[in-house]
Amino acid sequence: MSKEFKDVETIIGSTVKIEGDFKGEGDVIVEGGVEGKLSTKKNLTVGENAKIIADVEAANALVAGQVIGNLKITESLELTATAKITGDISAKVLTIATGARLDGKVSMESSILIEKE
Amino acid sequence: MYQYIYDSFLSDKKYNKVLTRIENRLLDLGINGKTNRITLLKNFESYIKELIDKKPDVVIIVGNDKTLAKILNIVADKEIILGIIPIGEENVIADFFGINKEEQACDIIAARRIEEIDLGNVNGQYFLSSVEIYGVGTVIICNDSYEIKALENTEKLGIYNLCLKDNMGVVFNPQDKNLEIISTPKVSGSFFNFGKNKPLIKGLIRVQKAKILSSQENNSVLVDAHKIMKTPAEVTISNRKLKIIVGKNRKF
Repeated sequence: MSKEFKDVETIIGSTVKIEGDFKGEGDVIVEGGVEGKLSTKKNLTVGENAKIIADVEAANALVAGQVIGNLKITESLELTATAKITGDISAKVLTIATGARLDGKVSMESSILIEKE
Repeated sequence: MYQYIYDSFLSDKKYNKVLTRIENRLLDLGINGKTNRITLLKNFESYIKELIDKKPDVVIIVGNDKTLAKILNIVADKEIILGIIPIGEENVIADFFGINKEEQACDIIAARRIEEIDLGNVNGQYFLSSVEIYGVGTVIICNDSYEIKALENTEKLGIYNLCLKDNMGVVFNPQDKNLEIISTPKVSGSFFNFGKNKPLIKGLIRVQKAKILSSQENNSVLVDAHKIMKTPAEVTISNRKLKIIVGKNRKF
């Protein structure tokens, strides 16, 4: 397995679904499903095949999968070309790749907008 | 005072030579003690309880993982130090604790490097390494706040205290008062599909408390790879710790 997993506190695997209020302290990777509420004090990575139906809070987030719910990111949010967001997002730094879908309001107080090819 | 407990499988003649070598090494090191042989005729539990009631300082198990599993619930509540002399196959736990086989284990016991290890509790019984359930549809309620549901393509969900096999390259700390839940996907695809489908990814979630409910296919859990218990299974980290002699090559 990848060495990077050694620093990860939680990996929601691709064959499981979490339902309820999930609170993480460290880095969280989602490859499966989440329904309810998802928050972490550190970094969140949402894999290409992941589906989250929940309000999400994290320090930084990289989203390649689907999120139905509001994303409240205190620092940086990156949406890759495969990301599909239905909900409002807030972040200080926002990066959106060509092909990403976003249906919702964007709030960026004292922040920078980066357009990524 | 050292008490040595020999598992019943060691009564087989093929182990005579190795037992003699071990006993000679213990004598050389000055840590020989009373030898207690488990036989099929003795009531194992009451025999070990009687032995433990004599308050030995150190109890040494001579056998394998199954021997440890058999004795764990009898010794876990007692103020003793546990040691292992592994013999034969199925010694994954001893290996995790950095204990070499046979005579080499005697030197590790003589060095008396002692660590306190977390113990898990499942439905009131102690466990050392794992509680596993196979099958789709398994639900685990975690920390009373969320549920993990095993979807299609899940082979098993396991709750681990010790990391005995390759679990995502992560070594779980058996002293951190956490349990790790691992979701293991089925090995998917035929030979002809090899490399075409994206590999399914294992999951890792740390908890302190979990309740395993039945899956669609299974209503029992496998504890420490040897014991079967019915669901629902309440799994927690115990306040009790196990004092165990470890080697310098331990994996934590």
